[in-house]
Amino acid sequence: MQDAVIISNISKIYKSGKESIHALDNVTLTIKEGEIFGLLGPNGAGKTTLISMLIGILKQDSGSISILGMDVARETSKIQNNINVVSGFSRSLISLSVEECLIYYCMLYNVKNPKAKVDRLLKKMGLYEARNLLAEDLSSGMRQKYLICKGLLNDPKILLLDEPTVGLDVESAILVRKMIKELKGNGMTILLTTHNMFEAEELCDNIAFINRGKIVSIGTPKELKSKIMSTRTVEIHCSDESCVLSSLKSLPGVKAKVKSPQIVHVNVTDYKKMKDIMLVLSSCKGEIYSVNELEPTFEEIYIKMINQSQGDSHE
Amino acid sequence: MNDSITRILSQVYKNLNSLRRNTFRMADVLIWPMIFLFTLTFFITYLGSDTSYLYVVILGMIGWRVIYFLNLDMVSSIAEENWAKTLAYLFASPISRMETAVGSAISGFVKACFVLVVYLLLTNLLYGFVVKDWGVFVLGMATLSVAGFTMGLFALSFAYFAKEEAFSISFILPDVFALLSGVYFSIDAVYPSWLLPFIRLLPTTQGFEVLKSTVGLGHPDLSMLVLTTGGWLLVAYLVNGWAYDKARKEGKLARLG
Repeated sequence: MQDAVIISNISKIYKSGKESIHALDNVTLTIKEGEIFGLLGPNGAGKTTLISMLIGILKQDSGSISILGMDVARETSKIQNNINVVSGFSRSLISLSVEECLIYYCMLYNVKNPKAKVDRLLKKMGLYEARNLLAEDLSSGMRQKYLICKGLLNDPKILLLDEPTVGLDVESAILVRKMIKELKGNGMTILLTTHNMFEAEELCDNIAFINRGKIVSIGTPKELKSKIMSTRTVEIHCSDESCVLSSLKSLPGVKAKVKSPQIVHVNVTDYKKMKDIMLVLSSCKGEIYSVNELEPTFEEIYIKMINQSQGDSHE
Repeated sequence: MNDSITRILSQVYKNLNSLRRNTFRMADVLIWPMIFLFTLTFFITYLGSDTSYLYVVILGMIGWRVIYFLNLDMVSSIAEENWAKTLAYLFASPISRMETAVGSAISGFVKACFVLVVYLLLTNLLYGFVVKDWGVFVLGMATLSVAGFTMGLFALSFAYFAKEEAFSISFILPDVFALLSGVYFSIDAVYPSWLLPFIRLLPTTQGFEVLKSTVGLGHPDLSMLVLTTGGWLLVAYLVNGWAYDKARKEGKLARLG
């Protein structure tokens, strides 16, 4: 896969009176063609600043951005023809119908035969019947679909999605995620920001954690999980937790604690210890109902990564 | 070139479609200009003044509308996208700042032309007003159109940073310039002599002088008209470019969502 976006040593400082805020600090990352790249981080981490630079509405202080082999600073207009952006926080133009809004955007992007293009997208998104409604009157789910239509009008090679499922009900969010998967299936490169960790894990091929303007870590969801989890947790369901606990305490390098009645959590740093644990458990007087390894949730990974980057790790 | 025209027309499409659907905006074209026309012309006829004064007022109102609509549409096009939280989509598209400005100025000009036609018809019916010299009249209107566009570029420069506040500025600007430029009166008769050279540097002054000359009351100066209109347009273009780049650098141009 070729590189669709190359961001090299980007920095941005916002000045407000005497105060300076480092919005982005030497950010470097690469997005491959055809992948969904997730950009995750807390509010104010620098995600929107980075997207604003990619779409050409904000200039970096230093560093360079190359999109589809073109330099953002020099070939802004050419790049803007090949990308599009959808923000979950944006609304719609006032006093214009859904169809009029989309035709307006077609004109901005010089889309040939705009009416046919708009009709096709509206039908695909199930919005055709709502085409004559005022765009500002759409429900949040319909508005998000309308915005995705807007984002696809110019057949962009790269689509930037800034929290596309924010404020959506479960069904609408599932639908939007399905659409994003379909777009990836059609070979589109997607940059996604979201606070929904489940969504990020489900959709993204690669993820960058960003905090206080710095990239904390980059990798596939699996790589990120393995990076942060130096220990693994085994959950034991049993009839007598005190017996299990006292038996496990005799094993060196194994930390066990009672999570709740009949449930014991064991932290294991070395897999070779598993055999010893099983032997100890088999000698317990009480019943052992199950032994399972607990997979950390992506949310836990996110929290750990962000906390570590702030020098406040709970590990 | 064709692509650029389509992008320019996108602003006309947006502004005129939203005008069609919005009663308040429609009133700005259909109702307020008529109330304004009747208020001033009734007052002048009540005073029993010479018809040439009445005609100066009519011409002044026509010229003022051109400046008002061009300048206002250029700023409202940006301010409304900001209200609608879609401004980032506009600037993230391939449309340039000048294409945006020209497109919205055209929609303002269309509104001004509509009011102009209504004004000419009504004043002809009520007061027998006719344009005696269409060549001079068109020259005056063209000058004021460019002046309105120039004013719009300055207001837009402010709008890149201040958004809604720029909307108020764009309401005030035409009134200030119309007052300074002697829209309904002779600047020589009203302003102190030390102020006149500065006032003559305004393209609006030159434009209104041309319009007034169609009823034998203005003192147009063609070389000053070309110099001030072109000069101010160039300055406005440069200031607008500088403001756009500065706003883009400082992150004030538009925010996503």
